[in-house]
Amino acid sequence: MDVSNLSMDSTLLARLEQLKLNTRNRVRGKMQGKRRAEQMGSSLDFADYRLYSPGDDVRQLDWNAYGRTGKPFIKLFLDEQELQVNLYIDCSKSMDFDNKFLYARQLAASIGYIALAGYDRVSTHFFSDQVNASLPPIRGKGSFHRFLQFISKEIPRNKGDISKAILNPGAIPKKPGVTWIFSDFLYETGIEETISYLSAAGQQVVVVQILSPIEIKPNLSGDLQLIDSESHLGKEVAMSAKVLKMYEKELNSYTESLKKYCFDHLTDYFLVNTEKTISETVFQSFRASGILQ
Amino acid sequence: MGFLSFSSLWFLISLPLIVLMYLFKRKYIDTVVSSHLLWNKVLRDIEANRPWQKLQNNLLLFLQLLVASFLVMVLMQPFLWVQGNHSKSHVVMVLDRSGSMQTQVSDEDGNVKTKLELAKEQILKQVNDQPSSQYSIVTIGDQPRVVLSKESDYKTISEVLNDIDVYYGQTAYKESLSLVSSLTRQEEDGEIIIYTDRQWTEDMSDLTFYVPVSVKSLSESKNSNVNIVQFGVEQAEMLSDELTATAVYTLKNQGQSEEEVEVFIYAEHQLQFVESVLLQPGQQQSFLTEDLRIADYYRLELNVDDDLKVDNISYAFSEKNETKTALLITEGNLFLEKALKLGDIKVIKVQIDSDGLMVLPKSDVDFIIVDAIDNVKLNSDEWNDLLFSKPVWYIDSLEGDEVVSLPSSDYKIIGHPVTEFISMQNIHISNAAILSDYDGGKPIVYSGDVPLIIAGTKDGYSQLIFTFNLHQSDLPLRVEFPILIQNAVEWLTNDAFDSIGQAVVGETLELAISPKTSKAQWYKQVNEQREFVTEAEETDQVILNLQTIPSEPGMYEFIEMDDNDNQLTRRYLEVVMDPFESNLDYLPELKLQQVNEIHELEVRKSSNGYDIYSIVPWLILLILIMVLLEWGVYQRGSAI
Repeated sequence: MDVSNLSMDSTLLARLEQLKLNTRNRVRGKMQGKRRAEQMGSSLDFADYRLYSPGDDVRQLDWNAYGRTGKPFIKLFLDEQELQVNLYIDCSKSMDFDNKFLYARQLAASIGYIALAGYDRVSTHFFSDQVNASLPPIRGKGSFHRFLQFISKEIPRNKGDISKAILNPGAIPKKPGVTWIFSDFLYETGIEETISYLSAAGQQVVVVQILSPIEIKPNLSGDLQLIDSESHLGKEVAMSAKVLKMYEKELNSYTESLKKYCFDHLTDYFLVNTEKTISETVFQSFRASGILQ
Repeated sequence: MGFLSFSSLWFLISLPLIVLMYLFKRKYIDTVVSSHLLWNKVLRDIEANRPWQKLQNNLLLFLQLLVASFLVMVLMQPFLWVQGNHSKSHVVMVLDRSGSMQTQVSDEDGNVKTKLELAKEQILKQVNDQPSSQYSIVTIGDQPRVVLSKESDYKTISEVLNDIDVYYGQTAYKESLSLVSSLTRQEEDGEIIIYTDRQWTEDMSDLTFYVPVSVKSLSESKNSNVNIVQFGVEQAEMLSDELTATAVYTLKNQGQSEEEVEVFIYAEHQLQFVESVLLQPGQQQSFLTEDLRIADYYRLELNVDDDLKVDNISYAFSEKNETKTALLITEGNLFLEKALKLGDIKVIKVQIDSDGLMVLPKSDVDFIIVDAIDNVKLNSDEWNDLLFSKPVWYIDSLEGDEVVSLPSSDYKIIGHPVTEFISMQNIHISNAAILSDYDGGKPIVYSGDVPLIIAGTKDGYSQLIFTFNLHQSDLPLRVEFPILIQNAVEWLTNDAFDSIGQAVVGETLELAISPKTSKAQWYKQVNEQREFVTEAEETDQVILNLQTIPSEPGMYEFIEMDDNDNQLTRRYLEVVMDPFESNLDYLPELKLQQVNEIHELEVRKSSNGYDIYSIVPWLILLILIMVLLEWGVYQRGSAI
C-alpha cells in the first residue's frame, strides 16, 4: 500500500479498520452491504412476521408457525445494504496554506479507509470553483490503493466557490448517503446553500472545517500587505494587538455562526486545527461525536 | 514661562509635514494569507478612519513629532522667570508720595506704618540687598523731582529718604513717569522700580519704557476709610431774631466694611455737637445739624478707626446772609436802582456836592457801581483808594478807543457766573465802546466781535465792565435784566468775605491784598492754638496777589499787617488734600509699555526682581535624548 506521501501508517490504518461510519438514518443502498437498510431484506436479522399475501416468496413462509397456528406467516428479515459515502475535498488555493491541504487529504483518506473497510461505496471529489477531479464510487478495502493514489496526486488550484462546484447537477450525489466536506470554509457565500442542497438530496452532511494555527491565531506584526492566496489582491494593514484581537473575534463569530447553522440543519460540524494529529482528530473529535463507531 | 520669539511658532507647520510624510510612506511587507474573508471584516472598521489608524502605533513618528515640536520650542526661545540674583547697574526708584500714601498699613511684623514709610523701608532693603548698583530716586508729587542721582551710599540714600514727605495736592503721575522714561532712555543696564499704592488717575498706556519696569504695589490689602465729602454752614435767622447756624455735612465710607463714626462739630474751639452714625460700605450720606452758635469758622471732626486720618477733619465758614450794600455812582438810572432793590441790595447813592465833585460815602459798602460816569471825575486819591479796595462794576464809564454802533443782535455768550440763565434774545443795543485794555478781564458777552461785558479781577478784587450804556439799550426792559443784575452782584461780592474758602494743596490762590499791607503771614490752627507757618510770598517788599497755599491740610489764617504791625485783615483758608486720594479702593491696573528688543538675544528682561532663565539648552539636551531614543526604536523596528 503506497501511503508514503500522505503518511498514512499502517498502525493508524489498523486502528481505523475497527471503526465504522455511523449513520443517523437507516440507509437505502443499491447493493448488498453491511448497513441495515430501511426496507426488509435478506439479512439474517429477524424483524417481524406478517400474513402471507399472494406473490410473496413462499420460501419465506415460516412453516413452524404455520404448523402451530394454521396460518401462513411470512418471516421478515432486515435487509443489509451498502452506504454511499461522498467525500468532497476542497482543493482551492486557500487550502494550499500551511499544511491544510495535506491534512484535509489525510483526513479524507482516513474516513475513506473506514468506509471502504466497512463495505461502503466511496466516491471522492476534489473541488475548487468546480469539481476538478472525481473518483467514481469504489468498494472494498482492495480499492483503497486506488483511492489513495487518486487523492495523493491532486494539487490545489483556482479560486474556490463551493456552491458553484458542488451544486453543479453533475456533482451532486444522486443517491442518499453520507457526504463529508473537507474545507476551510473561507467562502464569502454559498456554504449554507450547499449544505441545505445536500441535505435535500438525502445526504447526511458532515462539515469538517480545517484551519491552520496561523489562521486561528495569526502571529503577524508591522505594516503588512496581506495578499489573498486566491485573488492575489493586497490589503494594507498596520498590525497591532488591537487588530489581531479584532481578527480573532471575527474568526470566532464566523465559525460560531457556521456551527450554529449546521446544528440547526442536523449537520455535523467539526472545527479541526491542523496542529492536532490525524489520529487525535479521528479518534477523539469524530469518535466522541458519535459519527464514528 | 515666556517666549522671546513667539513668531517662531510658525515652524509648527513642520509637524503636519512629518505626519504627511509618514502617510505617504509605503512600506508594506507582502504577506500571504489564505483568504481575505476575515481580514475584510476586520479592516472594514479600521479603514473608516484609516490614515490616522495607520499612525496610531508608530512610536518612531511620535518621537519625531516630539523632536520637531521641541525644535520649534527652541526657536521660540522660551525662558522662565527665576528669582533674580542679577542686579542692574543703575536702578531708578520712583516713589509715589501722594496723599493716599499716608494710609496706614501694618507691615510683616504687625507694626502700623504709613505706606510711604513702608515704601522707604523697601527701598532701603533693596539698596542693602544690592549695594553694587547705583540708585536714583524720583519722587512723584506736584511735579517729578529727582532727589537723588546715581548714588550707592546707603547712608546718603537713607538721609534723602527721610526728607521725603507726603504731598497732599494733586499728583503729577504721568509727568513723573514720562521724565523717568526719558531719563533711562539711553540706559544700557538700567531698571525702573515704582513704589506706589497704584491709586493713579492718569492712563499710562501711551508711555514707553526702554528698560525693564516693575511696580511694587503697596495696596495688597483692603483699606478702610471714611471721609468728609462736604461740610458747609449757613447762618439762619430764627423766630426769636437770634442768629444761629445750620451745618450740612456729607460723609462717605470708602472702605469695604461697616464703620461707626463719631461726629464732632466745633464752633471755632467750642464743641457744639456730637453724634454717632453708622455707614455701610460705599454709603454716602448727608446730615443736617441746626442751632449752632455763630462763629467765624466751624470744624467737623470724625472719630473713626480708619486707615487714612488726614481726611477726617474739615472746616467750614459761615455764609453770612447779610444784605449787601452797593455804592451807586450815577447821574440817574431808575432801572438799575429798581433791579438792585429787587435783589434786596442796599443802595447808597453818591452825593454830588456843589462843585460837581463826588463825596465819599461815610458808611462801608460791599461793592461800587460806576454807571455812565466819566472815570476822570473819580481820579482823586480817596476815590482811587476806595475803587482799588472794592469790587467795582463799570457801566459805560471807561474811556474807549472808539464807539461803534451795533446793528446786529447776534450775541455770543461765554459761560460765566454772570451770564448764567442769560440768553440776550431780542435785545438791542445801539452802540458800545471798544476798550484798548481789558485790565486783566475776559470778555464774556460779544456782539459780533465787540465785547459787551468783560469780567475779571483787578488787584484781587472782581471787576465787571459793561461797554455799553444801559440807557441806549432795551436790556433793562427785558425779563433777564434783574437776573443779570443779581448774577453780577453775587459774582462781584463773592470774594469779599473774610474767609478765602477751601483750596487743595498745591494750588495757587489769588488774594486781594490791601494797598496798605506791608507784611502778610500764614498761621495754622493747631490744637486750638495759632502757629506761625510762613511769611507770604513777596517780591520787592510787595505782597504778591498770587500766593501758593500751605502744603499741609488744615485750617489757616492769612493775616495782613500794615507798617506798624497792626492787623489789617484776617482771613481763613481751609487747605485740603486732593479729594481723589480719599478713595483708597480705586486701584486701576497699571499698564506700562516696555520696548522689546527682540533682535538682541542677550536682552534680559526682568519683572518684580525676577530674571530671565533661558531653557533652550535643556530643550536641546532633551532633543538629543530623543534622537538617541529614536535610534533605539529604529533598531527594534518601527511599530509598537
